[in-house]
Amino acid sequence: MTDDRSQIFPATIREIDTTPLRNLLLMAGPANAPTIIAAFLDDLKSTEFGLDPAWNGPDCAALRLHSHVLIALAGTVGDADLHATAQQLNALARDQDLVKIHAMKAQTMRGLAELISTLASLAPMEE
Amino acid sequence: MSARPALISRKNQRPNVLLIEDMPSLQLVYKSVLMAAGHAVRVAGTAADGMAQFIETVPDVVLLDLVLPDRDGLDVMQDMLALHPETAVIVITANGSINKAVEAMRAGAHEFLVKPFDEQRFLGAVENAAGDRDARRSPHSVATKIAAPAAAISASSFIGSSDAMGRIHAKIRSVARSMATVFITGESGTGKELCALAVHDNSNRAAGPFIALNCGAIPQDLLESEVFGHMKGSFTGAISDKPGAATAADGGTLFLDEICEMAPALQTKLLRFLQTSTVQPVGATRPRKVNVRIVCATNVDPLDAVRRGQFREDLYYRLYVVPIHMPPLRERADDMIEIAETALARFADEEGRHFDGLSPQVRALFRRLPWPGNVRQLLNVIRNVVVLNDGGLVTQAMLPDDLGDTHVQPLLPAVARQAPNEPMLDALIGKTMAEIEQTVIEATLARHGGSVPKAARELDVSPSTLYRKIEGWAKP
Repeated sequence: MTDDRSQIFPATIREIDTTPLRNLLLMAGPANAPTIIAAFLDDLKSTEFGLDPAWNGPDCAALRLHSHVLIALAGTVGDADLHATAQQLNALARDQDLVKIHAMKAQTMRGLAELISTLASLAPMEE
Repeated sequence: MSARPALISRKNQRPNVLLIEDMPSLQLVYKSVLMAAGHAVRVAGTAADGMAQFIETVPDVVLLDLVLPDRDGLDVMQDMLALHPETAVIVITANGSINKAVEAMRAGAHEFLVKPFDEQRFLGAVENAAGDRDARRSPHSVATKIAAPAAAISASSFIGSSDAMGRIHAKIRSVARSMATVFITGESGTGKELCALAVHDNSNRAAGPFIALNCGAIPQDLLESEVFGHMKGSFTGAISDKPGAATAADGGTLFLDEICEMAPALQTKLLRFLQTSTVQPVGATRPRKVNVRIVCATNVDPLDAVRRGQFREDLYYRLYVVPIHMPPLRERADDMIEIAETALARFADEEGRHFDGLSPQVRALFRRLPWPGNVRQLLNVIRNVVVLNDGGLVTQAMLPDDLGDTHVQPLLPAVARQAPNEPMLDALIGKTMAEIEQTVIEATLARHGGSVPKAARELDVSPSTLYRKIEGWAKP
């Protein structure tokens, strides 16, 4: 992340609109909500765990694989910002654009951490 | 026009579905939604388990993630179709690239879906797959479909007996059998993709592929490759030949959503494609003839995009052959109640509950609300009511608390929305165009808390354009 970009993207945790996720949980049935949230948390943490070492190098194949998963997860829960970030990362990993990939690390990992934090805060409410 | 919409299955008998998806969270969501729609669902998390269950149960429809931990999804599909060619396989991909999905279509997949999850599209794909599977099993059903377009549209189209929807149904029926390009306009949530699907389903190419491409969701620098494909080695990262969406849609319909988001250079290529019916993948030396019907859509005024220089005038006239405007829900007061009542009955049935319709107060409120999210928003409200209440007459107290928010939000003029500390015109005088552009983009990003997609929407450009510009500023 360059200095210029850090001025544009605020350092504070962004607010994630949880309406799409809540609609999804309503659609799936309230009884399933805690299980689904727990599953999303597990999958997001696995993605975070997989992405973390992949920035070294970087390992484009691993970045491509985990960003592919992140596109689906972030998109499904309605985190439009992280979804767009994951799409961009996936395209860069496919093109093996090492310079631009490096610039995306902070943005991607912060967005992922924020989504995990948001979902974790939702979990007790749905139980 | 019949009030039976896409909400209602075309078949009375729900197909058995085998879902092969390795992500547990997505597996749970897909399964829950399919089961809520009345489908019998078996689930597998690996290719090996999926293949074993396929052999054991012989499902009607297979939902297959292309990226599986133990085997390539495409190979799995080919094995399945070798055993049971009548099975409808819907492949799922996540990264917006249709490279493998196009291969899958060529290898016999019924359709492909791009994650993230979209309930309407998802369930619609399963319903269509089941319907087409039945058609493949019956030698007469395709002919029946061709001979009875009116029946097809009444069963598969959207709810609405208003004059406006009646005209839309009539236009779809009359245009479906021709090759004329259809240009669908309308706000988000009004059913533009349903309309495109109805055009396809009522055409004599209904057995062919329906390929949908969201021009606003794919980075502009990848869009050409997505539409027209590329050859191995044509650019860095092009490690194999890749057919594009136009090739995948050969014999069927290519639906280009958010067409006004397409970059000017690609608009030129699309125009050439429309004029010659040939595609030339990036790096290819020879064009290839394809037979594709184009349907496109946008939620902005396309003529205004032409006036602003964002959309080529000649392309506009080439595409704007049969325009269909999907009216916003607030202009379809009678349809609104019909849609709400139909959805209430269906959702209640799914949840095993009984509701006695909408109270007069709720009907009156619904007619007054602006419904900025259109039909999609109305369906969410009804779903919310059904899930959170046991039954009876739907009263205002049962409605979501925030529903009134849409009622009281006035549409403020742009000047009234301007924050006091945002740059005024005087402050921009003396700056270069590039500086002014950067100032405006930064102010818009700040207004949306740094959200590039939201800022892009307000600026009426694609998110990738903003990302590119931001990257450009970061360079020394």
